[in-house]
Amino acid sequence: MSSFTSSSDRGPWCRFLGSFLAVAVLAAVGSICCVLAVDPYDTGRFAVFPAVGVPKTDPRTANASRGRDAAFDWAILGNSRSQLLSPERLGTLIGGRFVSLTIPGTGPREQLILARWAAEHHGRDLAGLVIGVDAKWCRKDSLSKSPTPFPDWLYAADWPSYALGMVRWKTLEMTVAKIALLAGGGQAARRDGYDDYESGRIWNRDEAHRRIVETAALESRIDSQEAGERGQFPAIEAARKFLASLPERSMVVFVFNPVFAAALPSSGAPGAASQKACKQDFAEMSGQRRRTALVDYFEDSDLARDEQNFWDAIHYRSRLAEIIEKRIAVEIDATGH
Amino acid sequence: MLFNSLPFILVFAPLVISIYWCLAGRENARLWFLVLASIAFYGYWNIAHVPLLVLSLGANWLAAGVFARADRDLTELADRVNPPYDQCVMSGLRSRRIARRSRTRKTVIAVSAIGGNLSVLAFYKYLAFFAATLNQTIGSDFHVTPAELPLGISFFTFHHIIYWVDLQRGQAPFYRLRDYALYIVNFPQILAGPLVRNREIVPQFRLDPWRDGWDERLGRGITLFSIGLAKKAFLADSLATTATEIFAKAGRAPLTCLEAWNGCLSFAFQIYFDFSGYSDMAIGLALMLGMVLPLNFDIPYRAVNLREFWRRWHITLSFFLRDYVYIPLGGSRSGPTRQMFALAATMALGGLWHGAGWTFVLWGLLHGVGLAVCALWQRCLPPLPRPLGWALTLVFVFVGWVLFRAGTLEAAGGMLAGMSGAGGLGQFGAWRTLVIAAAVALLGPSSVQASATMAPRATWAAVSALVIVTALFKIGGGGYEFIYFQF
Repeated sequence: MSSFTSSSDRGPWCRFLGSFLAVAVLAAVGSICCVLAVDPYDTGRFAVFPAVGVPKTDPRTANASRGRDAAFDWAILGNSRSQLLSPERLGTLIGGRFVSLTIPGTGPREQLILARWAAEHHGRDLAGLVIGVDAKWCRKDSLSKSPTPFPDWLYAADWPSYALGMVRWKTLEMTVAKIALLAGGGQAARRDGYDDYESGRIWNRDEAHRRIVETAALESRIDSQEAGERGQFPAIEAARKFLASLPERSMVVFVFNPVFAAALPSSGAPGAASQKACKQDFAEMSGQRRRTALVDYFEDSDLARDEQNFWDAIHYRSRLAEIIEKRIAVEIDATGH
Repeated sequence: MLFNSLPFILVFAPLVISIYWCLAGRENARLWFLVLASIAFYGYWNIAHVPLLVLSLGANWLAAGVFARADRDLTELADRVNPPYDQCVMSGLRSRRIARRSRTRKTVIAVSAIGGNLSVLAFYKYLAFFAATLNQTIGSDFHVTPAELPLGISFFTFHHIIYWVDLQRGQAPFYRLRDYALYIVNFPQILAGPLVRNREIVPQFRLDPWRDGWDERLGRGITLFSIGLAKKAFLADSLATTATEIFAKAGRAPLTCLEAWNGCLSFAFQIYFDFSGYSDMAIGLALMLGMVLPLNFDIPYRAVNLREFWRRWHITLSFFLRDYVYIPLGGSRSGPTRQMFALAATMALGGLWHGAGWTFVLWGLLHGVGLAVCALWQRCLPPLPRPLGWALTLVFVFVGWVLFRAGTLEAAGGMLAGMSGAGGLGQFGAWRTLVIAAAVALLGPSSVQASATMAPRATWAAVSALVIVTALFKIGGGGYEFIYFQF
C-alpha cells in the first residue's frame, strides 16, 4: 500500500488532478466539437463548412450525404440485389434525377431508415422512391437487425445519439479525410451512389452455375417459424406507416427482386405460402395509396430460368437490370408520373 | 458493463466515484452505496444473472454465520447436558469434547459450502463438457444444453472459496453482511479479479477515503487506469484482429510457417495486454476508491524460467493455486514424486478453471509438466544462462498459448503444424502493432511500477487525459470484450 502513497506533500498531486481534469474536459469537448463542426459524413447537423459531399467510404455512412443531396429527387433503396439498378439509366428513362441508396447486406429495417432519411430531407421535393424487396420482407422477423452492423446513430433523429455515435475512431479518420476534401484534396465518394459489381468481372457459365447451385440452396430455406400469414409481416406495416407520411406527389415503386428459379420456395413449403401472403399484403398496401406501384420479378419465368441473367442465385446481371428498369419506367408512366 | 466502454467511462465511473467520495464521512452509506452500484454494474451486462450473484452471496454469508455460531451453540448445549455444579470435575474433558465436536461441525459446514460453490460453478461451466466427454468415452447419450455462463462466476466463486478456507483455518472472521457483500461484488474486481484475500481488502473498506495521501492515490489510480485502457484499446484490440483471423483459419486450411507464428505471437501479446490492461484498470479504479488491490502482472515475458513466469503472470491466481490447491496436495514437502504430481494436478485444474475444454486441460498439464521439469532441473542441474533460459521460457509459453486459444484440438494441430513449417514459409502479414507490443512488453516497466514511481507532473496528467480521450474514440465503435470475461 505504501508504494502508492509515498508523498507527504499534497500540493503537486492536487495540481496533477486539476491538470488531468482540465485537459480531459478540454480535449473531450474540443475533439467532439471539432468533429461535429467538420461534419465528416455530411449529415447537415451542426455543419459550419460548405457541403462538399463525403470522402470515399462505405455506403452505410456515405448515404447520409447522398440521401439529403438536393441534386437528386428520386432514390433507389435496397441491398446488393438492387445495386445494379442504374441511377443514370433510370434518369434517362423517366426524366428524374436518381441516386442509389442501396447498401449491401441490409434488410427492410435499414432500408426504411434510409427511406425516412431521404424523405425528411427532401420534403415535398421528393419525386419518388424505388424500393427493392426480397425474401426478408416476407418473414415474421422482417424488422430484425441485419447481421452486418448498421450506423443507426448516424440517421438518428435525436442529436445526443448522433453525437455519442460520432465518438469512434473511424470518425476521426473521416474527419481528417473531410478536411482534406474541404481543402481541395482527397477523393470524394461517388455522388449518385451507383456501385457496379460487374465492373472488372467476366461472367463465366461454369462458375455462374456453381454459384447459382450453392446460393439457391441457402436462399430457399425459410422455415415454418419464419414464415408468416397475411398481416404478419412487420416490415410491410412499417412501410405502410412510412407511405402515409410521404407527400402525396411522391411516387413509390416496390420491386420484388428476381432470383434464379431454383432459389424460389418450392410449392407446399412454408416459404411459398409466406411469399404468397406477403405479395397479397404488398398489393393491398399499394392499392391503398395513389402513386404507388408494385413490380414483381420474384416468380418463376423464362428470365428466372436463364443462368445468363445471374451471377449467383440472388444477384442478377446488368442485362436483367435493364429489363427491370424499363418495366419500372412503364409502371411509373402508368401510375401518373 | 465493460471498463472499456463509453457508458462506463463517461457515466458510471465518474458518477459512482464522485458519490462514493461525497459519502466518505458516512461509512455505512458509502459502503452500501458501493455494494448497490457494483450490483448495478454487474447487472448492466445481463440482469438475469443478478439473482444468482445475490443468492450465492446470501447463501455463503448465512452459512458463514452458522459456522461462526458453531462454538457458541455447542457450549450452550453442553451447559444443558452437564449442569454447572459438576463443571469443575468435567471441565477438562468437556472442553476437549466440545472442541472436537465443534471442529467436526465446522469442517462439515466449510466442506459443504465449498462443495456447494463448486457445484454451482460446475453446473454452469462444466456440465455440458462432462456430458460430452462421457458420451464420447463410454458411448452414453446425455443431452445437456450448455447454460449461459454468468459473467465472472469463476472469480466470485473463487472469492467465496478463499473466504471459506480462511474461515476454516481461523484466518478470517465472520464479517457483517455489508463487508462480505462488498468483498464479493466490488465492481473493480468482480468480473476478472485480481483474486484478493478477504483479509487484504476487507479492513480497507472502513478506511476513510480522505485519509492522508488521498490525492496521490487518486492521481496514481487515474494514471494506472489510463495505462490499462491504452493497453486494451490500442494494443490488445489491434492484435485481436490478426489473432482471430489466423486462429479461425487454423484447422480449416493449412497455414504457412510465418502466418502461423504471426497468429501465435499476436495472441500471446493480445492476451497479455488484454488481461494486464484489465488488471491495471481494476487496480486503478480501486485506488480511486482508496483501496489497494494486489499486483497481478509483473512483466511476465521477461521471466527466465517457468516458475518465475508464474510468479509474474496472473499472480493472484498463482497464489490461489499454490495456497489452496498445490500445498494441500503435498507441495514440495513430501518428496519429488509427490511434488511432480502436485504440480501437474494443480496446473491441470488451473487449465480447467480457464475453460471447459480439453485444450485448456492440456494447456494446464503442459505447464504442470514444464514446472515439474523446471523444479527437477533446479534441484539437480546448474542454472541455464539467463538469455537461453529466457528464450526457452518464451517459446514454451507462446507455444502453450496455441492450445489455450485454439478452441479445438484440430485447430491447435493446424496451428502447430503451420508453426513447424509443414505449410511452407509464406508471408508474415501485419507486424507493426506486434513490434510495438513486443517492445512494450519486454522492455517497458510494469504499469504498477510506472504509476507508483511517477512524479506528479502536469505533463503526465495531460498525457493520461489525452490517452483516455483518444481511447474513447478507439473504443467508441465497439471494442473486443476482455478475454478473461469468458472464464
